[in-house]
Amino acid sequence: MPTLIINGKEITVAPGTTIMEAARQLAIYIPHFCYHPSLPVAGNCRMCMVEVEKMPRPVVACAMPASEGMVVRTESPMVLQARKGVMEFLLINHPLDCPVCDQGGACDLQDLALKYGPDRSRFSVDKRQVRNKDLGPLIETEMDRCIHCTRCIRFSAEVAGTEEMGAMHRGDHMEVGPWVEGPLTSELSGNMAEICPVGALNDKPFHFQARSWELTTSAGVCGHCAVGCHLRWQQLQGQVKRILADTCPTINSSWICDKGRFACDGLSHARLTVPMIRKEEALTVTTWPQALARAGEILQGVAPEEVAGLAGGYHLAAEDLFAFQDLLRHAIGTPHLDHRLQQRDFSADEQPLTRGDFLLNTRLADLPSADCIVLVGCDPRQEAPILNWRLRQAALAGARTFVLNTRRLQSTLPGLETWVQPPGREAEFLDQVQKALKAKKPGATPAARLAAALKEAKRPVILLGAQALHHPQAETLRRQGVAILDACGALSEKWNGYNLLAPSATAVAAQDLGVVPHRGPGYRPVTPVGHNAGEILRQAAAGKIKVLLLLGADPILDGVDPDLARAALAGVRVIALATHRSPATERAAVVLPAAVATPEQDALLVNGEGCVQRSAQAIPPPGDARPAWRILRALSDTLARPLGYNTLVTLRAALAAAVPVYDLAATGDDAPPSVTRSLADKFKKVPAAANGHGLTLVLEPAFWFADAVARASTTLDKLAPRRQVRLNPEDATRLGVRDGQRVRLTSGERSIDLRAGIDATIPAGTLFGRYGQGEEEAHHLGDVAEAFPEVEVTPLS
Amino acid sequence: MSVSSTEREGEGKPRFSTTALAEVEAIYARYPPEHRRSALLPILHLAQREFGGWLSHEALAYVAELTDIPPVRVGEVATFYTMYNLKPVGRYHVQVCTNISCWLCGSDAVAQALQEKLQLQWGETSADGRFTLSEVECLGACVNAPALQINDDYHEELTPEKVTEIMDRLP
Repeated sequence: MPTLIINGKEITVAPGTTIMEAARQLAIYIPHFCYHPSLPVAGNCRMCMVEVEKMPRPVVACAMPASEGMVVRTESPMVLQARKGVMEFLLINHPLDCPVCDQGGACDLQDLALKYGPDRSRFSVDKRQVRNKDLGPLIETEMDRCIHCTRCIRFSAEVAGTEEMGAMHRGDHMEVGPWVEGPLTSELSGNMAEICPVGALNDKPFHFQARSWELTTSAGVCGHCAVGCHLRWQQLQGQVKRILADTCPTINSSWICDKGRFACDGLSHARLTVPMIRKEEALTVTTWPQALARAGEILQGVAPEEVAGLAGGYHLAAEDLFAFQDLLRHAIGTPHLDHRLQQRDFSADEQPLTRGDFLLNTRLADLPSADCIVLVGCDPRQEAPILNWRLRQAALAGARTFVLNTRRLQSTLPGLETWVQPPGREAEFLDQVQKALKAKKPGATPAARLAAALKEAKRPVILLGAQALHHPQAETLRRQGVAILDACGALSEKWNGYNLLAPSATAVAAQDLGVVPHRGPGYRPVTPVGHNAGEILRQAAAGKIKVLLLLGADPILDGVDPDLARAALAGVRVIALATHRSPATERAAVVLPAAVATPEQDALLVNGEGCVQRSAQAIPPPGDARPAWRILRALSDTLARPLGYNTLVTLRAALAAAVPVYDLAATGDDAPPSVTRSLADKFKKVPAAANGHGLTLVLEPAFWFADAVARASTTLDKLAPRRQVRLNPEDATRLGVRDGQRVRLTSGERSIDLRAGIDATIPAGTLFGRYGQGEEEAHHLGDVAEAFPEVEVTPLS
Repeated sequence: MSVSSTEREGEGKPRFSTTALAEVEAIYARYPPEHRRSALLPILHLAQREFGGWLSHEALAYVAELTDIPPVRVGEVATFYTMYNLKPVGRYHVQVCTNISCWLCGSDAVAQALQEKLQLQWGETSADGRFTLSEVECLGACVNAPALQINDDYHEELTPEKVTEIMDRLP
């Protein structure tokens, strides 16, 4: 533990700590460009030079380890002269275009040039010019401004794991950029613009939108997935102009994904801004009192059990969900409510599952210390990019990684072993793993290899993802995961390796707060047990449910079976609390415009590991839109038993009383939630899918279009082709389908025309489409009864 | 150097012959398994010999695929070292040293004689594809300066007359 003195202040640091880190611990700022706390050290900008007593020359603070008795000065005449020299060199080729640079006003180079730069250059030769590089729709380049700090290169190699950026040529000819130009393949690419210390890489959608000093910044939490990254919203005149990452060491470090960063323009497109009611077949604009009165009339016109509620999966605050279940259960008096629109297997509802069964029990911060990671039906890079980055840290540290999936992943996990199983056969594989764990001579099958790796591991992790959650055998897969970890002794309080990756913060909160038919808030059983999401839609289609209250949900877009959802919505009267226009709001009797939880309201969000966070309001909701819980509370006034909270404070008190983990004042010292063990293993072989001439359709979550905000974003729209199905090159050749050609998909009576994409990661015999687009995507062929329908593919000319 | 993704489509993909692939294995054998990436430099030289004296974008992509090194890392190495030619060169790549020892011993006259003889400026390739003339830094042959290198062969203690003769003698 070396002790050193920096500017007269003494500090003892861990061995290996650099002078820069020691100075940061003392809150002493040492100017720098290439150093970044979350990236490997490069030591190439030379700006952080400091004077160390008994050393003849200045040393770079970022790369020099602290040693016993060092006396460091960061502001001595020698240091100032060194900084001035470095600045003069850096400014030789840097353009003087700060007035038109997006970085202007928030630029390390500009700030340090003010302090240490010469006021005129001694360099009389032409500045070098560097051609701008095409990095796709998210990053704007102005390569003349690049000072070769290599932060983007190190980010791309170490953090993103895609190794796309590099430094070509050398010396005066050096150019930073990709080798092959075009859109970056990393889902974390926006971070490169953020960590660029100058204006070389910029946030493209933000280009020329505002100057940094005009923006108002507020901190909050992202609601797009279940990670709950900390963000800074930067708004101008009520519009989010740019999103930056905020630092949270236990969740996102200092990175966020491109969806969290670039979906913000979706907050201002296709929004519902006024209450509407249906009059003579058309939706007409009305006032809040009239809309609420109409909704109350509809709710009171039927028996309570003829009302059902469906909550959506994204952008709802805990307060909204709590008020939603409270309204349905107590103010209306119906047991029928759910949020699991994409789930097929509801057999777990009969079991007394609890909080630990629905969470990432290995905390995000602990994931990098895992030594064996098994992904089941999970593509973490798509479902939760920051979680994937944590897994990557583990893999880089030597953890073995395995994935059991229906296709190969384009993964950034080094050394990922993949076992592709035909759709519906995942449980069979896990069953073999369980047998191999018990067997004396496990053999050399893939399952035995996995079992051996799990046995060897001290800190194994099983991560169940979207494909496992929406699987027709979801509960089987979940229990197998639990059983395998139990057999490895990895469900203890010391190391709990069971992780279920919920699709979003909303889904976690909905479980916690009882937006399910069989449990109330805090996982308490309720009676009577209502219908689940699938059953609600079937009952609605059959005419037994007459009114549907939708909270940010669109069963046509989000449900497993758009046909059933359409039939259901046709037969009932719909009261839709929604943020964006969608097929369901077009069919609604009453449309009540709601706020997007973050950033338009002060909201509680819970992330996948069960951590409750408060996100402050950054911008007002557009027009007359209001936070959903306020709408629900106002709606309850028209009913017999109004909800008993008028302010956020009283609502939060009621919420915390019902589910104590939602008490922000709580210490958080409670024992971690435990996983329910010893449930009977439900494994039974499923009959093989009929294998005629067709291909088996597998639906995946649509990463870039998973939620309403992302779907409305024009920036994200440029990233992934819509209306596309992907198939194996062999199948494509056999069927005579070219890449990009239009094809007709037929399954039973349903058919849809889409564009074919040829993708070698897709196994032969299968066809991959997306959820969350309802009528426009292969999702249209989705069906509750048949999870993996066989689809005929006909090329169209 | 970087190219737009459209520019690299079209041409046939370069491939190593079986002999060259055997040589790749021999190169790998020279490095410890944990430093396999170090084999990139000799493999790039091999590729340059195999693919006509220069490394096209396709050739670099092939080497990246073969060595399982990200293309951008291969590009960085290939653009860093000047002995990798990123543009086509003639059958004889004449590389004239004009660094200090050669210059003191009269490389200016040698260079001028060559430029006149071949009718080429620095960096140019003759229309018949026979010669490329390049100016290079120290060849490490200062003892016998001035020197030049034609493909893999050195020619030393040059005079204007001697280089003209060397050019004439080339088959």
